[in-house]
Amino acid sequence: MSWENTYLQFKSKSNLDSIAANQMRQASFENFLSQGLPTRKEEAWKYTSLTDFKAVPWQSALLEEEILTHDQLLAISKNLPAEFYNLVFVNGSLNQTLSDDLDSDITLSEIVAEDLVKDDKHVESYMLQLSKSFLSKKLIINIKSHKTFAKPLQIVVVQSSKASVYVSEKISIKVGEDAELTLIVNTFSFANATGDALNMNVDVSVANSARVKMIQLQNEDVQSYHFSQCEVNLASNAQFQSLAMSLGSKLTRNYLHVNFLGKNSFAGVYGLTILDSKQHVDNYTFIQHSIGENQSIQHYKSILSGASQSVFRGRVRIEQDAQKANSEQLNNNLLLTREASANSIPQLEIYADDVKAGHGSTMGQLNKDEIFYFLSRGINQFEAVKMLAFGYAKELVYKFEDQSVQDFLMKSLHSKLERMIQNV
Amino acid sequence: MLDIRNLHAKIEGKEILKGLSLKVNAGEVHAIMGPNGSGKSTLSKVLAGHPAYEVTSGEVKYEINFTMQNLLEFAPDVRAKEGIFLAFQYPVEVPGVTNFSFLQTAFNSVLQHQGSEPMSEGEFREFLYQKMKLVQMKPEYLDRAVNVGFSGGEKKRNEILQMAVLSPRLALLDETDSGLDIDALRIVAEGVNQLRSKQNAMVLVTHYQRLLEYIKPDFVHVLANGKIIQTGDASLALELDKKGYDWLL
Amino acid sequence: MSESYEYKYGFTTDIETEAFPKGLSEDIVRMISLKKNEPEWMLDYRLKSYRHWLTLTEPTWAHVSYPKIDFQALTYYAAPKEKKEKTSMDEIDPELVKTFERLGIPLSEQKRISGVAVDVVFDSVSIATTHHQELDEVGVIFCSISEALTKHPDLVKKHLGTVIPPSDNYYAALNGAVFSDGSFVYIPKGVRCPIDLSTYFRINAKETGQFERTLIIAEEDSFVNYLEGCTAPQRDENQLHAAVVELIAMENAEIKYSTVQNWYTGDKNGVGGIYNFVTKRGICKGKHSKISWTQVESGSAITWKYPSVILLGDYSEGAFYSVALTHDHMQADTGTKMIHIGKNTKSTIISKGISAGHSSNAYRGQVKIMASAENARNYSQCDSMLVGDKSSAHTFPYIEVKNKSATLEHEATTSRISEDQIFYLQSRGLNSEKAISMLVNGFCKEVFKQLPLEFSVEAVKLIEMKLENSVG
Repeated sequence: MSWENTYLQFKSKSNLDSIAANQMRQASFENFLSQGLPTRKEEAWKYTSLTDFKAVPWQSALLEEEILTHDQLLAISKNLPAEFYNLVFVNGSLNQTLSDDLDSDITLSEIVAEDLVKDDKHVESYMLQLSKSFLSKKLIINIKSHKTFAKPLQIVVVQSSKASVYVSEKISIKVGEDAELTLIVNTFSFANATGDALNMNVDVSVANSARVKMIQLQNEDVQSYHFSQCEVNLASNAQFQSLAMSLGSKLTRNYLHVNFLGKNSFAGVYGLTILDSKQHVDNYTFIQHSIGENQSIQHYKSILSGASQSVFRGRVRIEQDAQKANSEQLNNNLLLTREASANSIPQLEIYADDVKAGHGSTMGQLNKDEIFYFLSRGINQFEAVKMLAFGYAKELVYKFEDQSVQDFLMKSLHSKLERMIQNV
Repeated sequence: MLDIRNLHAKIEGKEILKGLSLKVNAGEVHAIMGPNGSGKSTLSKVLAGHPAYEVTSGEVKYEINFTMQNLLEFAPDVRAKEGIFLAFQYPVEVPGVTNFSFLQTAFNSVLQHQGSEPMSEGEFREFLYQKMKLVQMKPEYLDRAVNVGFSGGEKKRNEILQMAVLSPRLALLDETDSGLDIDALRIVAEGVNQLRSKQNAMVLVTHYQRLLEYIKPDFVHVLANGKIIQTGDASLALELDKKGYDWLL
Repeated sequence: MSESYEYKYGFTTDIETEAFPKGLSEDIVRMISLKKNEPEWMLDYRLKSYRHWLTLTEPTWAHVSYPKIDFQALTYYAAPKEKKEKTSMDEIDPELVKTFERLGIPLSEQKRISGVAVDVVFDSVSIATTHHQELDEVGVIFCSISEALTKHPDLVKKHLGTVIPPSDNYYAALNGAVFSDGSFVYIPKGVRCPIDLSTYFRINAKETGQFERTLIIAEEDSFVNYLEGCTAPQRDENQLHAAVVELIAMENAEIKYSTVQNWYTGDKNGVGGIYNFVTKRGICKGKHSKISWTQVESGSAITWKYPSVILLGDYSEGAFYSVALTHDHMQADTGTKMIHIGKNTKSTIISKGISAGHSSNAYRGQVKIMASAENARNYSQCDSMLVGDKSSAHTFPYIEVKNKSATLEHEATTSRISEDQIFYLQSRGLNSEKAISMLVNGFCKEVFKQLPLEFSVEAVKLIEMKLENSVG
């Protein structure tokens, strides 16, 4: 099935929307058709091939609303800790039964003309246009000034289909002055023969003195595709911290752009990629110091087994007026198996002189002396590798102090490592 | 409990042990001395099963379940579970793994190997506190990453703590005295002495006589050029201290 | 930028020149080959390169910008007219001898630099090569590539284009078609080249492209230290220099290749200067072979250059040491590629970029560990220093690992000279220029120490002089 057919399917099901929304989608879809999907000739897509993704006959999500089985409901509810405020979307629609009640800060709204992407120079333009062509609504989270959102807010995005459903999601987040939000976007899917695809688009606007923590926990079935484009704008004295924890999917592409538009703000951008079999994760981060006197730290780590592959392209740009910018970047890759491979492309583009910027990148396997030390204390190889891998990874989970968040992430981390290292 | 015969071993193609023989019985303390590069550290690493060393000929028998068995057949973790403990000359730093979980996992691995139930976290913590007093280590060290940021003396004390926790039958102490000041040396030596018993044996690999003032050996061996060339009692160590090794070579 | 700064190599030699008509065509390619009395296969090689070049488009991925080059407006061959066959060094046109003397390269036998054999290339042709006798005794061949094509055609044919085929890139294809001269070095098995070898490039003629070609072959158990220098007159229009350098190291052989590049950079407004678009690559073919590239890039309006090493032989080692200084409106995009294929191969990359004025300075590098490269090691360090707030510094490393036993470490920093540092040195009696050059020298030390002593002294002076003018 071609994208045209998928689009027609989608259109016939989403005719309840306004004319403006339809126009926006139509324009996005035309842009998408004229550009097509990126190939590896594109510098930004050099290490990630969409050939397999292209070959799948994608179905529009609205076409068949799957009913969840008892087991699936159980699996989802296991992911809904009482310490969190939970919203659950299944195949693109809000599931009222599983979700907590919407409160005044959170609304579901129609797409408007401003949601259209005009910039075809944007490195993620391809996926953005595709994402916007298939949007039926957006989730708006608006935290008023001086308010602290009571619990960590978890948005669970679940896909469950017999085969090959494509879904677009959009989340728009505004955190007012001196307000605070911890957000977890937890995506997963149930296994089917050909996998599903999710294409997420997230905007985060952090006002003066606001504090935002955002975790993308990505745990889809290993046949699935995951794309996300995230734009973060920071005002002055803002604190932003993110973690892209990539455990699932066959192919993941995360784009994250953080732009400093005020002063004295901090962004801590972290990533944890843990892969096995033939999984592929491509993280493209773009930290832009448009204004000076801000600090950014990036730390991405990967643990690779099977024939998996990770890509980290970390771009830091310090504009001419961004004096006294401070930027650090670190990428560590741990290769556990012969067939695993890693690519690291840390990029610094610096136009101001009074700045501190640096990056580091390491590749390697587990230290043999460390393993021997464990063995010599009676700990077997499997246990040693697991402990070392866990020790290597958890540092980034500890960046999030909230105990309930930490416990939640540790659980996912443990179960992935446990499964994975058995096969090493 | 340990019987080494005509052992040859090499690392990166270079032969280090060239026909070493040594017998150790339960309850004995052996000191192995010798000049730099004589193969002292190689011996302890070979016994613990370090993968970089290759045994080319000779045999090592070790008593397991009251029979002498070929030690070289066993993986390093199995050797450890069977009571062989190597106190490293340079203890390895392991970022990200806490001392507590390292010790607990090691201890329970050994227990399970012996067919016992693993100890609960609370129980083990209590047990550990007792052992830590032995080497004068503060409880906060348990929540720090293994050896990371430890001083030289703290690392060596941590080794002795591990030894106390795992209560080995055969302890190999590789240059445990090196880099220690006199106070640290005394603490370490006291820890070691409290672990001596009729059931277990110790092999101290050392460069200097100093450690032997605190831990009295039953036998002193001189290792040179990959072989034991002289064996005596504690007085041999004193003699070596005065005269050096040249007169033996 | 002070007005007093002068590019002391910016003079022009007034000499009668024989030049081909402007423009590039198959006829021009044939004329070059005919002029040089080349064998048939060489002409074929050139024509194939030319035809391939026609199918290519100019690369645009580098972090540089410049107006489109009109390849039909360039002259592809220019040479000083020779009055008669020369039989010894002393018969070289006195104008040329004077030129090279001004450049610090005496050609006459009496004055020549001891311990260094020099091949001098003026526009499209090699003028002279010194120290023939000394080299002949040990069997080292050091001559112009034109001479090699007539005297040692089999050696050239066997190796030319094996490391950098004409299909490699746009400028390599162009070079394959029109290269005019350059150096040829052959070190036989077991020979440690008794003296350093050096080539000096000079572009003199107007609107002329220089397409030099250098080929160095080090047979088993041999060693050579090779130095390269270059200058050009101060002219308002841009000149193109598109060289190709190939190095081949067999088992246990070592090639050390050092460059101090000081082409004319253009004036303070960015008018004129050399476009330096160069492809340099070496292959460590045999076990335990070593190739190192050391470069001090201080000239050219635009530099586009990535001296690379293919580590094919087990235990082979590649190194890249670079200082790239840009000032005024210069643009540099330079770095290296280390391709690990053999087992236990090792590479080291040390890159120091200094950007002053309105210049832009980018490091671009690739370290690739193939699946076959068991236990490969790489260490990379790429530091940038900014002088003044109108310049920019960029780092684009690509790290690709397909073997888990690899160990790679890459580090990069960007900084400027802090006021505190300058103040500290001033308080110890140094003036600010001296303080800055001392700090910059400290910054570049790891690279300078790789250069042969005279080159190192020259490089330090060059950087100091250029910076003094940039900092003002």
